Amino acid sequence: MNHPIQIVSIGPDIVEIHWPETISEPILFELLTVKNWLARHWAEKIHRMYQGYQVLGMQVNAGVDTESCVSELRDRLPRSLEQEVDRPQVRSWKVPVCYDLQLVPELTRYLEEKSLALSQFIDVHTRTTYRLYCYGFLPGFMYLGGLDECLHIPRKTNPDRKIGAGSVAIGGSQTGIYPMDSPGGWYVVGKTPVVFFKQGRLEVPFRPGDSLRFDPVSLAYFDELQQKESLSWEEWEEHG
Amino acid sequence: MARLYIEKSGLQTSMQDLGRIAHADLGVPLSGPMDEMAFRLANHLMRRSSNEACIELYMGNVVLQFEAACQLVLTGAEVECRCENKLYTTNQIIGIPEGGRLIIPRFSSGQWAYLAMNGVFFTQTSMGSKSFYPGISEKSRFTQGNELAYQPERKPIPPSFLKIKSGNSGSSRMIDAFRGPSFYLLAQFQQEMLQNQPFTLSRNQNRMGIQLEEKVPHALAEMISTPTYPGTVQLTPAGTLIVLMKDAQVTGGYHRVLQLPVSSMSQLAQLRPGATFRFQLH
Repeated sequence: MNHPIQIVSIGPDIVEIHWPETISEPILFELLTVKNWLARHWAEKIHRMYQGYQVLGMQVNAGVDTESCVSELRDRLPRSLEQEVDRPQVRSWKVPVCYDLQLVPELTRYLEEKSLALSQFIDVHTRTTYRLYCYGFLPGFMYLGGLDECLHIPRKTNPDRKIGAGSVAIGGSQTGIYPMDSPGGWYVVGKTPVVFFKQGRLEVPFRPGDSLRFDPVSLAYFDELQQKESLSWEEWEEHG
Repeated sequence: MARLYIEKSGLQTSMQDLGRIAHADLGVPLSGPMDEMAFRLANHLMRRSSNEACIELYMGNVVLQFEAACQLVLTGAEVECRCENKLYTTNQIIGIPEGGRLIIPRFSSGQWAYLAMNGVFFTQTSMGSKSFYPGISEKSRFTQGNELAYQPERKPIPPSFLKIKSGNSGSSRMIDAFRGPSFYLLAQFQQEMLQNQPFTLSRNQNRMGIQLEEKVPHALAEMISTPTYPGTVQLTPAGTLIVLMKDAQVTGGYHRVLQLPVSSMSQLAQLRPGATFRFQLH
């Protein structure tokens, strides 16, 4: 085991596994290995699985004793981490994003606040490979790590009432995509034509551990993609 | 199959079952009844499985018209419903005749009620649940003029003279709670505040969470997002306590100082803004 792990119970039905409080890829991969191991071995004990950056949480089923879960995990986890079969299979994705000011007039405000030229901004935002750590805030909202420091910006003090679905935004040291309309305090900097929800079903192929790049597309191509009835994410997987 | 017509929708009327068990790791909130104890009682009285979808009502003021005869029960908040000049109290089996109109006035105490049927309500399942959630279910709440299909059970439940006392009246204002991970980071006087001080429910509440009035000032460092559960009590940097309820997000960046069991969430859900309570730590 690489990192010190703490296993705790909270109340009568929650067990958590804590890694050191830092955002790091090695910790993420260790956490995902444990998550896969739990899915294989503890499916009948776990009611609902939760995942943060460095905390794995599980609500256990009625009748499952959390204290014995804690002691069993303390015994078994070190060995579980050695299971090759549980290592996460990570995939790489491109996400088409249009940065055209006609489509995203709000981007002007961000560029002014940051004193950045549009081309400069697009260059930095799209050259980074982002790591998907976990989902949260909204259904399908990805917590991505890796935003270049020169693009960081404090969140708006007064959140906007509505940030539209598909908006690519920056807030603090994070960048992400709004999967559905929502109030939010982030700066909108782009728009993706790909939809996250189809008839109330979340349809995203991205799993924690995967890497994402933003692929700049023209307004014309954005329109073309948006008109497609069902745009498949599979076309945007990067191989090799 | 028959139809139910919503003549008057109330403030926040929705379908709820026990929620979306899967997909928390995709950021999907659990959802489900604010007062799960009352919800379970409703299905129990109607002899349904515990996950059968019920209609959740907030504060009352709802009028429903039923095409076919059926039996219903309303649990949770205190209210006297009327159907064809007959009065029915909370937890009493309501007999609706063909074409019957059920009038549910404003609740006299409590906030959330559950309407279960001796039969089945037909609503869309999305991501494994019938619970409404904006963006996932077709609707986020019922509005006037909406219709809902249902199938009454042929075999009626015999009327019972056993009176089930409603849990709301004079309910204990001690709320069972467990220590959350950040509880141990607090100074002793802050821990004592959580244990001894009375807290007041604020107006700032919805299906996602309930904010409390009293503040617990602290100097805890900022933290990175961790999982949050229904029943997690968060402490914001400004010292505000937020009790996360059923529609709460699955991760959060605030300190988690307490964790409430389902029974405590049910109790809190029924307390109106301005009511006070204390946490009983275990």
